Amino acid sequence: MIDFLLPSLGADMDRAKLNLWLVEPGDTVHKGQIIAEVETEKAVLEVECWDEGVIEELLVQPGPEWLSVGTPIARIRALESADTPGPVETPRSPGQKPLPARPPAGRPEPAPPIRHLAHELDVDLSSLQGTGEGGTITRSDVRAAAAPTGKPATAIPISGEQRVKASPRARFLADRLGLDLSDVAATGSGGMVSAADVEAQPVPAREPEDKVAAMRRAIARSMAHSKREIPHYYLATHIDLDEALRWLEIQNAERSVAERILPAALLLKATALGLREIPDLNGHWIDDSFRPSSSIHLGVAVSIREGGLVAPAIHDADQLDLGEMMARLRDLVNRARSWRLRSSEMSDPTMTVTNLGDRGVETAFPVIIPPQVAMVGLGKVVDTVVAVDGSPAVHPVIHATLSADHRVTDGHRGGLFLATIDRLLQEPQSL
Amino acid sequence: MTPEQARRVIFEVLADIAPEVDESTVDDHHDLTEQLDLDSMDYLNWMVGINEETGVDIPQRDVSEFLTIAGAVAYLVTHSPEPAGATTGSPGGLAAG
Repeated sequence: MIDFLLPSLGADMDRAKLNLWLVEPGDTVHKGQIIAEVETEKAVLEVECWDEGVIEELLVQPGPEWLSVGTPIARIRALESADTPGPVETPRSPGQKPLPARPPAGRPEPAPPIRHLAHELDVDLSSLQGTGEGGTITRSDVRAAAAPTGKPATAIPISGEQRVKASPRARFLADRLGLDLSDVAATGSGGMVSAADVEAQPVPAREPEDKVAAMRRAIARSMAHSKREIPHYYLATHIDLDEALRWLEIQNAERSVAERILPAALLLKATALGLREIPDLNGHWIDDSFRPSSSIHLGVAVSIREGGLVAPAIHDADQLDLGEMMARLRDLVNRARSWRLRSSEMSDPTMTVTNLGDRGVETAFPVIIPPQVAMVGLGKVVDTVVAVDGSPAVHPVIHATLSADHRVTDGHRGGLFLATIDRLLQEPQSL
Repeated sequence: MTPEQARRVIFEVLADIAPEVDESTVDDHHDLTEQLDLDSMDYLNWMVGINEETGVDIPQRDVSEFLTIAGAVAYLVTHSPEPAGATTGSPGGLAAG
């Protein structure tokens, strides 16, 4: 029997509330399966299971109590190892329910916003026939499926209530007004609460739970810790992106809009490969010593529209080709913005990148996220006069900065790292 | 597709990306990313959503047409595969109106 413990949820995150279970006793679980949703002060996270077996007992019920990291939350019976050595098929019991918002195998995977909408409207994607190109599930398909005859919720909702079907905007408005969606009379199709329904509702007396304020407190703790403990040094350099962006434009001309690669993916790949060459910026400072990481899990700072910031990881970023990097980045940003990150993504970034160029900033000076030991800041791409073979030319140029922990590296190593990123970006076809 | 249909799809997709956006306050002729604080990922998701809903392809060279709501409406009206059900006239003519 295995006790499944509440996993680590990121730096300075030592507790969480259990929002809901996505499995029941008797369900077979496999490695990487998402089995629960928890909420820290900073984010709602999907908890992955790292054991194979059958859920014997759920030790904790969803509720408002804080649970410490390491608390046993479920008991899993390891599968009797059958006489099948070698590659083992993922165990799935016949009665196992599909996870909400998971696409069925063998069909094009719906885009993250579609999966998010399906989750919001409580629509099981595996039961849908897509009407989009190549059988892709579209927004209209999801909305049409959110009908009263649809199957009931499979998840165990918070405190036993049914999860209310509501459009994302309705959910946003209800959150802001402090309204409970289950109190709102639904007039939308299929019993869905629309934005107009929420606006028609009188504002209640109770104070809204302020997710953003909680996130602010968590950021305050982490950043104060960083500035108190980490002796930062800062380096900056200009990188000419003429070659890289020209190359990218040619690549994108042949791609459909859904497969298009943003410059950010190129910059992240170059950073990940740079860490391979300068590994002493990739890892953690724990117990007064540097622990290098053998994997490169690149954290990406993602701003949340309502305010606040999370920096989840793209796992093994150095091993992804550009198409994969873009797909992972898009998925990660979309899930971060809909508060649907996974526990492992929050717990294990080995170095983080912040890309503030999108917001018009030319130069960023990042504050390292402890226990990481470095962070890269990328600014806006600016058309700049540069000298090319002794003559002036106008090229797109980006300002790349590095904040690094002086306990681990010196400016010389940091400088080599930025120079490596520059060199890699001059040969975009090799990324 | 009529301009009204195009507009409905455009805002429906936008509401999933930026739920706080109030349609009545959006200026149709002003840069959308600036106006609504969309980053490049939001902007890409918006175009992908429109493509999925309408079937209209948006090649890289035409991305700049989508900088404003007015530009996006005109593009969809002109490039949608079939004219609107009730109208058999030129979709380009609708865009001008």
